[in-house]
Amino acid sequence: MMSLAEISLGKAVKQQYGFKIRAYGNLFVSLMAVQLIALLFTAGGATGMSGMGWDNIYIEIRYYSGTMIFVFTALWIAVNSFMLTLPLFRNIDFSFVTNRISSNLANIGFMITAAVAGGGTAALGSILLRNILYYLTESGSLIGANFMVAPGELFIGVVVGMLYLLLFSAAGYFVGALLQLHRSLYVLVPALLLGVLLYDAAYESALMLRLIGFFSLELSPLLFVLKIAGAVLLLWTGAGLISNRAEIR
Amino acid sequence: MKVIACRELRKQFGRTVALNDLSFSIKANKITGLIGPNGAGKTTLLKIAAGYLRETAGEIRVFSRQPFNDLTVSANTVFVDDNMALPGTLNIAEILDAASLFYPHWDHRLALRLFEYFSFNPRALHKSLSKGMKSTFNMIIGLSAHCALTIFDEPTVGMDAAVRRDFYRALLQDYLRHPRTMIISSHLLSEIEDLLEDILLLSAGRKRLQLPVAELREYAVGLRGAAGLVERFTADKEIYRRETFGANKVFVVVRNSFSGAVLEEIRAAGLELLPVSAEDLCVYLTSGERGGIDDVFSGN
Repeated sequence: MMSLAEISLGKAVKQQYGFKIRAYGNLFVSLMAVQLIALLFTAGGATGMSGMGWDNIYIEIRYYSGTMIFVFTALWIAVNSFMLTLPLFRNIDFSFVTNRISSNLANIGFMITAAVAGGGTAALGSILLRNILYYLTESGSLIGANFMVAPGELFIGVVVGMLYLLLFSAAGYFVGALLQLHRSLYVLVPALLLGVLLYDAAYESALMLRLIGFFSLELSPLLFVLKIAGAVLLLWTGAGLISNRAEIR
Repeated sequence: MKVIACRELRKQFGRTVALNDLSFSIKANKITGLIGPNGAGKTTLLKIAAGYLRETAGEIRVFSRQPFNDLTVSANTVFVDDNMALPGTLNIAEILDAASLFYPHWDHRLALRLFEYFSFNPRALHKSLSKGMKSTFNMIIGLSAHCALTIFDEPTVGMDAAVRRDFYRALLQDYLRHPRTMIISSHLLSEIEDLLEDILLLSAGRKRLQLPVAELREYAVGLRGAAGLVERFTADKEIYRRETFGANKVFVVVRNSFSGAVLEEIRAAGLELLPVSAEDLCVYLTSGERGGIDDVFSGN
């Protein structure tokens, strides 16, 4: 009789995580591509513009911001976290050694890695944007305010960016896990989201804005971190509970 | 030691009952053939054993554990079929490397030698392999994993005759060096008969038989001749198969439990006694005592 190999949860998660990084490493190439596209959009055309003129003087003000890069990165992480829950990717996990808990934990590890990479590169992308603008625009026409970023600010920007990305990622993962419950949810969940938006528009109730404001309007750094961490844990736990009884193949 | 033990196992998909009241056990280090017609529940049973699906009722234990969500079962079980999901982003050599990191007893030397023998291009992608090559590659993973429970579900789909033969040979060679519990499911018994020690025959989600292959070969006997005479000898027996041919002739398959004297009597009465191959018997047992496809055309 072949001896039974015992394997700890930690080891299984570590193996599975390493496997995911190797197998899905190409996602980080797509991250670069997505950020590059956002960068081109932003540098090519300003995100805001206003012009005014008297007689033969004309002043045009262009606003540039790294927001687009971040929005694209957020979309990238939400979509990819969603994809992790699709049957194809679940099934690949189960071709090797895993159970549902280790598969979810490895996915969480992967999402954290993606958030760190995404948050870091998005912040660096906005620095790159400044560099590009510095060389593209005529000298003297750049207004200094917010042009230089202090290292401390940059660091806070990176951390806040990562936290937001983690939130988007967890949301994508939760929705994905939810949709796997039943085919009808593929229609119901988007319909529900659309319904909320329409309700907001029709009754000026701003449910969505309030939800976003719950995080974005928080002034205390500690509370902000706690809110994000709480929401992320809630979403992960929800996804884990939903998928823990799911059948494979 | 029992590697798999089931008690009144039942599995339902919606209203469809895939497994029903299934009780059996499989002892360690045997090669068992899981045989049955399409839709008998073979794949469902194997997927439950591998922890992919959850039983609806009853009990299943693999290595004395509940397989669903059990890491030890997963680490000691490999489940191979032609739907094995593998990442499209790694080439097949990288997939072998990845698999080697997962399975504690993985034999990488064997994997590489088989890989070379079947002339795989290391840079090929799994999804671009032909059906037969895919099955062959999956088989390499299944064998090299050296798992205490090795499950092959219809492993030879798409393989040509030569590769099939090589596969069975490789399986046997590796089994002899590293004895372990293997389950091979197939609807074609004749092809794997020589490989198997035991047979578990399923039909419509139920166990029909579980026997050593050697006993299965002797299990039944066919009587051919005049209908009246045949019926006289088989009146008190369960009839596995009955075929009518000619004006008044029948061929009837029954359990081979005649005493020597009765056998003499049968021969003396001018009836033919025919051996029933394990494969034919499996077909008879799972298609009921109907006359088979001929009934469709005979108009009754």
